[in-house]
This record gives sequence, structure tokens and C-alpha cells, in this order.
Amino acid sequence: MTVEIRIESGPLDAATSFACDGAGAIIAFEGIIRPDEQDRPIEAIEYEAYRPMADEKLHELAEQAMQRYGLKRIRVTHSEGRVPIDACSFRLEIASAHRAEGLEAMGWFIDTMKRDVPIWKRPRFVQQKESAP
Amino acid sequence: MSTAFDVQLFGPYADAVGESVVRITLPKGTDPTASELMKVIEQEQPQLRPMMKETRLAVNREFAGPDQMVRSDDDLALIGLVAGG
Repeated sequence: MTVEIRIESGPLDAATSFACDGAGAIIAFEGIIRPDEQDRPIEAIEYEAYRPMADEKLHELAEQAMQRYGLKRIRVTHSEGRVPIDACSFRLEIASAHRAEGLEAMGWFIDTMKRDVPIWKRPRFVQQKESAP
Repeated sequence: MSTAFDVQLFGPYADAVGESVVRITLPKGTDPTASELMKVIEQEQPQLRPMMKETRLAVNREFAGPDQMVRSDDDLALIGLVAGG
């Protein structure tokens, strides 16, 4: 299978092997939850997906990336639900004949996903304890 | 007689309205376009006004053009300002 899409509940597991016959470049990107948003400490991000549109749009984008950049394989994994800081919420793996088209496809996919795939994130801020009088 | 259009809301849209669905009621026989329905939503939900410029209507899980006709039994959702990844 050359296009794989998965939306999983919670943080993503560690990456598994992503081999591809004939590929000269394997490129992987992982999105990790930062410890702050808008300069405020957070404990997690909650992802909300409009399904099945989110699945369908990710699949459509992956197919477009395959054709547009001549990729050999693409695998997209995205979290929904709560993902704590330092955990992985998004992984994009691309196999291509050469690095240039793979790197270009990576940027294009992520930019387009952030515009067209209905997945929203809500930061869960650390509750500030009231200081003792 | 009237026809109801249920439009799903997510993320900041649901937060702004405090609901996950808004119901728009139009006179029976009214078949609005996507842009007409969005104008009514904006009028009835003024708290969404700041976001509507960036917003698209999804009809049956595809982004609709402004002139696309909308039916009450379509799967409708407001989509915009997404930021997954």
C-alpha cells in the first residue's frame, strides 16, 4: 500500500519501520506537543477531528502529494483526543526517489493540511495555583 | 411551515457559540446557497462574525462553493481556522 492514513486516539506510539523498495530518500516528520502556547504553560493539547471528513481529506491530500511530487510511499498518522506535552501528535513519513521532491512534498502537505483538514486543537493550560495570603 | 438546517460546529466555533450544532430555520421551500446560509448563520450567531471571513461551509464533507445549493438533509459543518498537526 503506498498511501496510509490513520487517526488514532491519544499520543502516537513510537515510529515503526517505513521501508520502500527503490526509494533514495525516506523523510519523517514528527509534531511534538510543546510545553507552552501563547507564552503560557500547558499540560496537553486536545485534538478534535470532524470525521469522516478529516480522514477523507487526509487521504485526498496524500494522493495529491503522491502525484504532484512523484512519491513512492506516504504514511500519515494524526492524533485525536488528549495528547500530553512532549508526546507525538502527528507523524508524516514520505519515501521518494530523491530527497528534493520528498522535502518539498513534506512542506506542501503540512501547509495544506493545516488549511484544509478539519482537525482543531485546544490547549489545556496548566492551572495556576492561587498563592497563599 | 419551515425547514431546519443543522450545521455542526467544532473547535473555536463550538466554543464561541457554546453548542456543537446550530439550527437555522428558513421558510419551507427555501433552498439557500452556501453563501446565503452562511450569511444567516452570521446574523443569528454574531459571536461567529469575527471568524466568518475565514470560514467555509462543508456540504456532505466537501467544501462548498458560494453558489452551491444546500438541502436540509445535507451533512453541514462550518470549517475554518483549522490548525491540526
